[in-house]
Amino acid sequence: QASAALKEGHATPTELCQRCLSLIKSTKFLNAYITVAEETALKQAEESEKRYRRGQPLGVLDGIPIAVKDNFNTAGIETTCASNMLKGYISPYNATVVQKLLDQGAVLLGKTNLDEFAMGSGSTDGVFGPVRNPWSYSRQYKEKSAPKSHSEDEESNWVITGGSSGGSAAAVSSFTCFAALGSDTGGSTRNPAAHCGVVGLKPTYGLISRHGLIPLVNSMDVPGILTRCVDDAAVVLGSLAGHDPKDSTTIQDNFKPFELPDLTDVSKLSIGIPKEYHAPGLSSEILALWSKATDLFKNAGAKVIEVSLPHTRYSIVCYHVLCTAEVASNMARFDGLEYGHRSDMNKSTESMYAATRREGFNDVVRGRILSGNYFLLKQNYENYFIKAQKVRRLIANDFVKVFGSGVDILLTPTTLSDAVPYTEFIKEDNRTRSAQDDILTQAANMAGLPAINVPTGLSERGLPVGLQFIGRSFQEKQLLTVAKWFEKQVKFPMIQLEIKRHDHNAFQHQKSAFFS
Amino acid sequence: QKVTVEVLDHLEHLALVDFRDAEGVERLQKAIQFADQLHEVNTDGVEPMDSVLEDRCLYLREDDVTEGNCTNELLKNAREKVEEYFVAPPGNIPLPKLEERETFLEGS
Repeated sequence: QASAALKEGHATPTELCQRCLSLIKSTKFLNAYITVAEETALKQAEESEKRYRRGQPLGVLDGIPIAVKDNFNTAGIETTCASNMLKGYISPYNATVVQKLLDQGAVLLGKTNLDEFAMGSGSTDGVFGPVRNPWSYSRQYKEKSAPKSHSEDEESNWVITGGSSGGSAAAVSSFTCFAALGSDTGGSTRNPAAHCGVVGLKPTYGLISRHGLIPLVNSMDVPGILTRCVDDAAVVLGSLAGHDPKDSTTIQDNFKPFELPDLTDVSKLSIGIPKEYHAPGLSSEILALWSKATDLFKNAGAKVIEVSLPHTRYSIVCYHVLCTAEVASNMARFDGLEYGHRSDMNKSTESMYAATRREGFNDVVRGRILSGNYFLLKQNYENYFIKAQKVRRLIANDFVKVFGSGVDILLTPTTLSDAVPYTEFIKEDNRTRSAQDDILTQAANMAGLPAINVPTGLSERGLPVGLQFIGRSFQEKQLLTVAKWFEKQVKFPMIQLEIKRHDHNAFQHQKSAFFS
Repeated sequence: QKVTVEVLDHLEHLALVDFRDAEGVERLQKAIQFADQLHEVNTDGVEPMDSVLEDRCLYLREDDVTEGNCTNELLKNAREKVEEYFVAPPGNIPLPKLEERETFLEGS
């Protein structure tokens, strides 16, 4: 819709850009952005405006403000991964996905906050502080909280965004951008999408280039897409997918961008409901919502069957071993010599490396590096690393069997509960939290399958709850078509943000003009 | 089974990252315990899986130089450099032994 407005001249790219920038300023307390590239964004908007005036926009994304998670390299803009290790690091190049968006004329507003090096499920463990869920400031949440009018309580009551792409999710949810890039290794795009009430797409591994995405787990990482509706996700996907010679793990098949059909007849669909996703700890609310969704499909004529993915509960253990092992390897590049933080210690190379890493990494990162190295020790390699790789195959095979039996799409919850207050969340450590929160999303990464979170409803506390669809490899079109149909049925409510601003009325006006 | 100090020391050397405190060591113990659940799964006859794209051919491009000449760009991010070299402190000096260096493990 924004794109159409730009085309018809109802709005200009610079206006759009300025409004987003000003909204970013008034939502600063959300801490969604680490870096706001105001100057370059305005320049990009001006260039876009010139193109529109000539009647030659580059495409649907021309002039559209977007945000990018701070673990993607962006030329000339600081890329920190929310870590002291990369504070001050100015990327010399653009990640392929960033380049593709810029080539389409998108306006890069800034880099969003995350858990340090994308390790975490709350977006609370970065050096720039935690990200606040915009819904903490929504009328819907406030109405459901115990009647308190002190701003103090509001201060301590705020809920997390989920993670690790929390900044991106918050940015999209609070209308400061139209789409954002996240990354997804264990659920890092879908988890915050569910908590922030936005669409979070994890594409099939190999569809979108990882070149320029600072790697966590090379065999599972994918760039993720966060938008306010499924159609938008399809548009962004269309501009990003495809083979990249700079990333040899991208498949060479030709990718054709697609428009999503308006599905009316779901009777030919077979929806699988994996019983193991009724995991311990799943809130009764979400269970009920999942059940309602199942009924929705049934009543519309789709075939709904219960299926089994027997190794689901080992996915998180498997992930734990494989992730820490790959992390141990990937973090080895941070030694202070070529980029990033460097310690003043200079007695020897090794002691400089050790001091640099001690100063640069937080506990979570160091913990994973040490665990990873433990699993990779000669005496442990077979029993842990290889064992995990075998279990990985079993998990992937579970999906192959189910999809092979005629099921088209799987429907599961995305998270175990709605977003918890920050004060609650930090009571447990990062690894425990990740193990709990990634349980429903991780297996899709293990098997490389595409998955999407669709905001479904509000919890009793007035917070978003989403459901997840998992599709077959490289069948994003089918996945998104079903997701779009579902989105239409559930009519997820728009967030009613209450921000204390002088020109509160002005904000409301902006909202209705562009963001409906 | 608790992890021995020798192994902990070895890990600090391999990772060039330190345990910092008892919590760090405890974290490792818990991580190992958690990972031990893998042994409940029967994996007889199962091949390890490296990549979900194992059935496909990896893309290999022609061995031609297509980019480069960005020395200045790359040097910009390094703190210590001389002309076109990254400067490192002297190598070949091993990390101090457990007794000699500042590590939490010393006490345990």
